[in-house]
Amino acid sequence: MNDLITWVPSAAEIQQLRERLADCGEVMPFSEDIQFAAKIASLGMQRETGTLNDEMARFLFDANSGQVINRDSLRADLVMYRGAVGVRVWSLATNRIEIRCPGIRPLLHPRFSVDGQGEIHQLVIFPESVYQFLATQGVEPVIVKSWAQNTIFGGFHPSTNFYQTNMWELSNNDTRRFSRLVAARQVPFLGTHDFVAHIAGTDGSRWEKLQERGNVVRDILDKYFETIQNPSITSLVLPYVAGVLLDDLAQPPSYDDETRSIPLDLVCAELAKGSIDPRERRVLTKFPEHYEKLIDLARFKGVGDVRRLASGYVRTMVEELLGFSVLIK
Amino acid sequence: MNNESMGRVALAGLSLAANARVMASSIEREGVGTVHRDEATNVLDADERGQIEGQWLKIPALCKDRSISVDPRVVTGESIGAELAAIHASLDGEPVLA
Repeated sequence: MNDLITWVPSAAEIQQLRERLADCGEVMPFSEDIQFAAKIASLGMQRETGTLNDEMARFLFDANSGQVINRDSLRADLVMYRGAVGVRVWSLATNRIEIRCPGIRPLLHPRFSVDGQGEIHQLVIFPESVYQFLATQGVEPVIVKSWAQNTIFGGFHPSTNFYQTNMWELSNNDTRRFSRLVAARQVPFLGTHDFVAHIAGTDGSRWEKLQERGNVVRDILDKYFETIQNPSITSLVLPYVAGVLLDDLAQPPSYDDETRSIPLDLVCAELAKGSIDPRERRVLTKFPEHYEKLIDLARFKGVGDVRRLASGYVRTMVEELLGFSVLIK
Repeated sequence: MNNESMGRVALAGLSLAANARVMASSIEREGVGTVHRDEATNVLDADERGQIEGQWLKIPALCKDRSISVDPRVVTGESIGAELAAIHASLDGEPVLA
């Protein structure tokens, strides 16, 4: 009763989860069915652990050697405790784990993760507890159906970067959905990226401005695309850039970061102006070179450089999108 | 060179991992061509009906897009705090603090 029980879902249980997911709305708050949501989130983290898609691995260090733990040595299983489903992560290479990312350690179940000397020997995470923590910050974890279907149930192969998220997010216009989530103070919880980048260290008081940004991006994109069902890839690039920057701003270390918010405002201004007409049929033959320049500027330069350069980069990106695309008559 | 062969020049030899997917998706979405994937070589090839000129695709650093804005640094002894301690304890049936 006081021990963790390993849960190995059968093929039939996985199929049940898949079918239950198919019946969900596109966005399912954890509060709607906490047990089901916890199973999906745990499964997502368990499947990513030790693979190329494991975004927690680079923050796990061997406390003995001080070196990052080789991700090949990481293992994960699903666990149950008094009806709650969670995920347990450990390393075959060390039993003393040091976490070098703020906000993760408090979310570990202390009794199952930390010994009497304060050493972390495994990471036991219960999404149900994560949900309760986020509730104290006025933030709600959600399962996004199409994202879960594309990742957790999307033909997983641990040795490849199977998500191929970038192109998928771009062509699916995911910034619209993400901005709606941010505007509603909701955070997806489907895997290690969501847990490490967005959930660990969440500070609800700093979500006020973030929520406002989500509202602005949502409204601009709603107006930009209005009744357009299948916008061209060319017209989806600027919204995609906005999504990358908004994703950064929704990470606790980057809340309110001007080096991201300044370019985001500039991109939003171009969208509001309709610099790329989403009603036009345009085939994009080359990705704009100033995409990477702008993202690098936002992530790695100081606010002075951003104030000086971002406007020109955004304008050039628009010109590249027009110049690199072919208008179909 | 006719238009169809121009389309083949544009995409032949680009592996999926080399980001040919943007142009392929763009061609398919606008309905100006069809894109084939050679399962053996994992490259894209396209038939197109003449509306576009062939150009090589370059998409830099796609895999960096979903980065995490945390630099690994030593974080030790983070306190759990009474509120989170109560949340963890609630799994044992303890009441969560109001």
